[in-house]
Amino acid sequence: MNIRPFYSGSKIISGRGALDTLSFELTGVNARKPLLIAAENERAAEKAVIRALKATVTVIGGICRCRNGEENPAKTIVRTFDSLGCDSLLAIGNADLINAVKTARAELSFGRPPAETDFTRPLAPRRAVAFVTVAVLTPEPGALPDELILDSGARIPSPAFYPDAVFIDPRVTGKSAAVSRRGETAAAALFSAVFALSDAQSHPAARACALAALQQISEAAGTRSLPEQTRLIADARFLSKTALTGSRFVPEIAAAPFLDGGKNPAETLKMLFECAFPALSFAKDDLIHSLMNLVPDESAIDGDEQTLRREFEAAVLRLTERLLPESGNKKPTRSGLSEAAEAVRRSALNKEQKDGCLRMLQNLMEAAE
Amino acid sequence: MTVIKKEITPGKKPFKSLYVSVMLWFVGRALAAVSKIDKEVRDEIAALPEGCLIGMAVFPFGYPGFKAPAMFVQKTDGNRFRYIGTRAGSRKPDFLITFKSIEAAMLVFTFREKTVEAQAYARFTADGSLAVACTFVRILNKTEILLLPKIIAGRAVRRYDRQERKHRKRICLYARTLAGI
Repeated sequence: MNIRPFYSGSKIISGRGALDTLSFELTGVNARKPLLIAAENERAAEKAVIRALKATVTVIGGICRCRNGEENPAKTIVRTFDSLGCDSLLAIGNADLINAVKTARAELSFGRPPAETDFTRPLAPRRAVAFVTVAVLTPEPGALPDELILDSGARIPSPAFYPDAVFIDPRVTGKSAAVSRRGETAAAALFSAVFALSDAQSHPAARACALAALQQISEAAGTRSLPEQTRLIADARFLSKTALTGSRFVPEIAAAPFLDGGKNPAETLKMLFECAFPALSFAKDDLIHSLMNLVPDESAIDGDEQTLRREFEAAVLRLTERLLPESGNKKPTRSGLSEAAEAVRRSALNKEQKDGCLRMLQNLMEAAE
Repeated sequence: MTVIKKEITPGKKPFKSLYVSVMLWFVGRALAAVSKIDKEVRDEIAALPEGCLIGMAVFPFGYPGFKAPAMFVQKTDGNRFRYIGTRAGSRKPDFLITFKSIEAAMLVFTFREKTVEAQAYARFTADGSLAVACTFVRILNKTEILLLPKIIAGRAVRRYDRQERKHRKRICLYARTLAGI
């Protein structure tokens, strides 16, 4: 029951129950009447997909069932697509079938076969054809979804071959290996951080969080110790989520005047707590679940509220410590922290959040002394 | 290649839709009732903008020709909520929670998953100000604690806060919710 969407070229929605969001995601890419393309021997997966579309707006325009080793399936797909007036392609399968659907999509989008198209130059599609796949086996980490393999054996790499969304649901993939939670979380953190950084309206506090997240991910990639890697990725997820939520959903953050390169740590802290704390409280829940999912042995954290709370406070402290060196001050000043505490008292946080903030500031003050 | 040239219109889930509709109707009226009997909730509502319209719906709510469960409440004078109904009319809600599927809504409304857990697992989209979202979730949690027995409420909210005069408030809340006063 744990869905965790992340981006890796395509939007990847994995976890049990991921298929339930199929119609929602299809609508998001303007697909209301997809042509279903499935492998002949994947009837169970086909049924699962049709069942998942119940009580939604999506209508399946028709079905193409491909046999193994069939010649030119892409041509049949293109003909059927046009004759049935479909608007998107929904593929269930792996390898050859996906390759055929990629070929068909390229032909439908650009009006000519991919072998005759120059993918090294930027291309404007003649019409937008959404392409969504439902994996029947968990894809290998090294799989390249942006490559098209021609009949001649030649490979064409292009981002044009990325599916719009990929669904990996254990109801369909069965017993094949599950996607690594650690990898998924790191990918999700990376995406959120990049998204927050690329948002022109991001507040400096949000940008600082995003940069810190990127640093954590790069550190995690070079770490061999599994618990250390887990901690780094969980922190990165927390930081990036805060950055993304803060940059996108808190109007006060977007409207706040640009801080002077974070030169004043008291001001940075004040803004962080005043503006970003609602985001942090959301991120906290996410952090807790990230920890639950990431720690291989759940008994290690006992699911205990107090332990999780301590983890959260430690993460906030780490975040604060990371922000402060950027301002040129290794330690926060007492007056700066007093100002931040005053800002917290004046803010619209609830009592519990205020207490949490003040306790953390108290810890920082003790550390500063 | 076998080609089936016919449209397949996926069926409906009438029982799940009905259950979620009833739950949303009940929650909407309970939100209105709890704002009349609980001062803490009124204090929370005071922080919301005047006339703030808040809704909860299930995808494909808002698509012409499709019926989907939904409920809307609006802030009125005296820092209270008024249950508007299942449609918001022409006005765009200030804050709208949309469950991505009826299955996701079922998980939350059968109390198998907490609201924050559902958020962490991307079961719904929240469209609107984050400050309103935080306030609304706190009010929702308070309402669930007052409405449900502890054993069930413990599964619906992340932290179960003890309430003063809980049983008295609960009786009052059920009476007002069912009578719509």
